Amino acid sequence: MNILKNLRRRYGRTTLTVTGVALAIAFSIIMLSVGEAIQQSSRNIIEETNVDLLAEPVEFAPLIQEYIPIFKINQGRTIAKAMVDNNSKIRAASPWLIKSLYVSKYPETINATEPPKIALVTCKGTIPEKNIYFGGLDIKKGSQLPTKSDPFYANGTYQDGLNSKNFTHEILISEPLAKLLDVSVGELIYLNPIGIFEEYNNQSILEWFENATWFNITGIMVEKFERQNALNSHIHLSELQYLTGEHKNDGINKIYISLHHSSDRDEVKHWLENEFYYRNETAIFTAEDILKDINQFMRLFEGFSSMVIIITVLIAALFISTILMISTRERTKEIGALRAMGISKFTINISILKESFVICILGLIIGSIIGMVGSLALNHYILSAFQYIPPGIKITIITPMLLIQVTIITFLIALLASLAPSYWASKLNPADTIRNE
Amino acid sequence: MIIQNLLRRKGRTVMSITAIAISTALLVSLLSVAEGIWQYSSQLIISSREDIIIRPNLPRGGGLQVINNGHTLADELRSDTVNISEVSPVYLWWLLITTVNEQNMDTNFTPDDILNNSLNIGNYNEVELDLPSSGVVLSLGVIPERMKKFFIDEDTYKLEIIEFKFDNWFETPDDPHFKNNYTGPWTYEVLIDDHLAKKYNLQLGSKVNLSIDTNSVTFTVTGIFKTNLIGGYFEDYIDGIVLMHLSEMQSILGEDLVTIENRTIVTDNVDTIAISLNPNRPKSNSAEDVAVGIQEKNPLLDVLTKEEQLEKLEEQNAMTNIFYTAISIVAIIIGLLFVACIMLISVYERINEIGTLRAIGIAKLTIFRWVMTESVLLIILGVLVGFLPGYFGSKLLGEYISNNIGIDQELTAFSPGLLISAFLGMLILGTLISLIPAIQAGKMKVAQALSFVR
Repeated sequence: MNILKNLRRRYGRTTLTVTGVALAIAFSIIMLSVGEAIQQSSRNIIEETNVDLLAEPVEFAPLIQEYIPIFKINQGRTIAKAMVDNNSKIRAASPWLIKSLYVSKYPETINATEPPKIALVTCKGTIPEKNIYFGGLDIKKGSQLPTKSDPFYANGTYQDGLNSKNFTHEILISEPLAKLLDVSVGELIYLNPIGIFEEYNNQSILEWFENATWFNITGIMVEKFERQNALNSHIHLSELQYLTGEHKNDGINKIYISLHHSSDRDEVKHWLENEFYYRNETAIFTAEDILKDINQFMRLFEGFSSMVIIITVLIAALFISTILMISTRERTKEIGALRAMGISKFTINISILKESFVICILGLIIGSIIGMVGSLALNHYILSAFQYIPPGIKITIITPMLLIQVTIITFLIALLASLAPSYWASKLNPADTIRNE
Repeated sequence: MIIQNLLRRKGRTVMSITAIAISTALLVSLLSVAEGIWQYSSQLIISSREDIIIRPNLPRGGGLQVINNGHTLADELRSDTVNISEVSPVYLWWLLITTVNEQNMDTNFTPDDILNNSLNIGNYNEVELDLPSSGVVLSLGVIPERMKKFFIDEDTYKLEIIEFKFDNWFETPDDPHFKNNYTGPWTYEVLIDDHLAKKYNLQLGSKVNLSIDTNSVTFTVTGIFKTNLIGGYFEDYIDGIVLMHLSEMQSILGEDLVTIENRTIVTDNVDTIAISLNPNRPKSNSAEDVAVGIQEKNPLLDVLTKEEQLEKLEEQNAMTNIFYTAISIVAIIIGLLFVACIMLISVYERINEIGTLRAIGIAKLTIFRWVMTESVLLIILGVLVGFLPGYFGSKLLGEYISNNIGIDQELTAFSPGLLISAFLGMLILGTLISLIPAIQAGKMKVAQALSFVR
């Protein structure tokens, strides 16, 4: 009661001190929520894909390999098949090839002064029926690739090439690509491994379309793990292999693996590593490995934010400590009288500590509100300003653990801030104090 | 009188100055690192011999953007000898490196190997192979004689933030494998950096396999160079850097040709084309004119002069400065609130004194000015004291960032301009916050102040 009265009596300084503490806490919440968000939303996205294990060509940053197809696995289908055939715990192993191809829509008239839009699209070659256990894909219009198998592969013969009746010409494209080319389900787009890197004229544009392969859009999708503005597409694996010359070695970039029971993850990982890795065929990664990679990327930011948080909290602690010291000194006579009446040093110290705690708790409440609103605003701003962030990623997340962390920091500030005034008060001699005052 | 007041309450004066000094140190450290990064990056552009840079310019997915027909396009540009003195196409990508020894001379596996491997189920613990030393390297594909024209001095080349210092060079200066649709002879020459040489115990003449899959090509180390890389992110992800002939790298990556329907298409992909302008070109032909000429011919290219590169960098730098200032502003506001609070307490403690002064005829404005001056003086002292820890803080922060990135480079710039702008910024904010206690003191009523009892 006394403590609250004390604080109210010095309304101005209490308000400013609480504001200072609140700002430090709000800032700490925002900075900590960034690191937390990247980790947690990445974990959520990985879990949503239902990929238990990821086989990449090389023991090298799985996150980089996931987004940039650097290395290749030859005889991809054979390896994927060997995985499923030889381990009953593996439910599915889906080979993927990822290549960049040039894409355009056939214009109404070929006119070099108004050339058609040509974009570079990330094409993902896949076998649809192998992906039934995997998620993370939202179909916004139309459907997935209707032909579930990969008929053009035809036991590795790729028979009749582009004229094959098994060449499905089916394509699933991302929303931003549909928007860019102004196309929808049922329309045709053209894919070509090369662009036009010579002078634009009617002839070069026409030749480009003649050498390109048409595809029929079967659906429009959003991939939760891809950038919001990603120009992506899915086609059948064999068709992409054929268009990019990868059919000669059945080249792929990765194999997504689904297990019957996720709890077998470590055991199967160990088995796969021993079976395939020793020949430099594949490296096996779990979600944890990808998260470890993300943490590595975040290292610079985390070190930096910790430094700034420590400095901010230090200034706030200095602030409360000084103000408490002044308030305690102003009450020298009062403290002297209390000590003379037999009130122990410990009780005096506790009352100073309580005052410090009250300021910090008020700061914690106000700071938490500002911090939460601030982190929401930051999340909204960054997601709308930077289109390359995947839709499933959040920039800031407030978790109960984070709030507990901040509360502990606040209590530590309160404790530290009360040390100097408590020490000073305990050194007071009651007789001298009353006499001098 | 103001100084006396501050000295009378030494403890709180020191604390206030400390708080302002810490927040100033933070601001100065962050801004000096931003300035240092800007100076370093802009100097890289200014000092480079790449007057114009060509990169692909088209909407894209997540994959790498490439320019098709890199060799041909470079040759076409090079034919403009009036304006252009040299053109160098470059491809930068990752490769898998494997050292060659007797046990693993053959690293190419067939489908049968894989299937046979699958038959070893259950016995895998018994499989004992001499594991080759392998890892990932950053690989730069160049046409040696052309790249050499872009050296900033006799033996130094800069690629973005990486600095190369060469003691040895390629024996074959041109790019013979490119001839006749990549049917020309391979040189099998590779230059490696000294970290890689040390890590894999490689010397001149050593053999290494380079690949992006199990089909590797064996190269001979013909040179070892030094770089400014010291670890950090670079060491986390790559074992080193290699340099090779452009067409050989393209063939390893499969970026040379595509065969569809028995029709072979030359893709000849590169990611950058660097142009050095002819210094003796007609004065009317500015770098911008040459760039516009190239751009007009091909909308899929992004043609940037040094000025345009600097403009882009400046935009990024402005964003960085805003970010750093926003981060340090919280600490600054808390520090300033601290000063405001201390000044409020000082005013409160001097209510009777202020009342007396007002009673003997001292004007409100004078009281306002005294408090204001005292507050601003505290802030100025704090800011000045903060410059020294700011200097050391910026050194530490710069070192932390360069160590994390992995380059041996000073990344701080502690200029008078930066100190002046930090000083003025703090002074403006400090003056604003000092208004709180000053107004409080100025508006005090004489009778109330004289009769006030604490």
